Amino acid sequence: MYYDERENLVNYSVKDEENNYTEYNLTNKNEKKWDNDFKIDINNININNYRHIKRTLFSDREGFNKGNMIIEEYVPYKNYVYKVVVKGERDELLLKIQELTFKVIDLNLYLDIHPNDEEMYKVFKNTVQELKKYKDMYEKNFGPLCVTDTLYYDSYKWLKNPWPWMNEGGVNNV
Amino acid sequence: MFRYEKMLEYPINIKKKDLKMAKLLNSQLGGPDGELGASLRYLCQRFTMPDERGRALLSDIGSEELGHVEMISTMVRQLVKGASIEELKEAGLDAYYTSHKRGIYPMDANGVPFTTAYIASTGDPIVDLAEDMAAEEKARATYENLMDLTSDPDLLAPLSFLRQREVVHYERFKELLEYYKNNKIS
Repeated sequence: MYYDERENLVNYSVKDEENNYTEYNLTNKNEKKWDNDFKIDINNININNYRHIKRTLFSDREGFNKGNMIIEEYVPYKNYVYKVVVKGERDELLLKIQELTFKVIDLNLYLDIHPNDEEMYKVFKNTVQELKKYKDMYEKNFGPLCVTDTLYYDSYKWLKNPWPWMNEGGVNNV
Repeated sequence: MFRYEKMLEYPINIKKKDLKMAKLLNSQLGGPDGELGASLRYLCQRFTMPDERGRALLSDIGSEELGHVEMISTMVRQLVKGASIEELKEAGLDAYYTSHKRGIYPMDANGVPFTTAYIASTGDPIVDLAEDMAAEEKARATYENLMDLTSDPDLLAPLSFLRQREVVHYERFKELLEYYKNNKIS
């Protein structure tokens, strides 16, 4: 006799008495033949735990180019992969800031759902530290990225061009 | 509170004018599965999320989507900039020019203005997250369709970046929904 908590409306003992050949009756779905013949409760399986036990990160640049920091979750479309290439000191520094900002954004979303992943938190913290360093460097040399980045200047620089959409003929990377 | 950072999430650097693509890209600005709708959807729904994870995730994805609105607007602007009246007429943008000149206006590829009827906010986190997952997949499909319609790498690169972001957002929403269901939070 078998007892299944999820199907306790079925009275197996009565059935066994009625039919001695249930073991060979393949159409009888309520019958279990072996101990490992159990039903899987699909709604209660956390598929993510099986699929992505390990999460490894792309390098900063590669993750930014692909739009996804986590290797296991990357899904390409028709093998389209692009590399951002820029010229000039200012654009290179800005690209570095964009890369690190992107890494912070992606890890931020991940940590919202997995706040107890200490290893990922360490990566997140180091990235924020590095980003701060580069932003400070940019602010010092090329102007503010936030309106409050004003401590290096004697006059109001926030409104200065170029604004991010002003990219005439692809001169500025912004 | 929101603060602006004077840079794009991913650089956009379009050298070739393409009015047809500008018209089509509008679908991801003010269309039914566009970035503006995505942003509003999450930023409205976050007020009724039942726990810290949900409040954080919807705030953060909603904010990122605002950055995507900026990216799509930038692409449309750079594609349209400097177009002559004849070129606009030829690309079917004469009606657009009548109301908006060469400006940015949230509408879909056929000129239907953006409406909040595109989004849902039911106050029920399980329903809202299921809607969010569907929305991310629809946006991903739209990006793939747009990528099929162009061969300009200056357009394909940001489109492929934005498409991949939909993949990531979908994954996060799914994890949150599974977490709520497994822990019977609602």
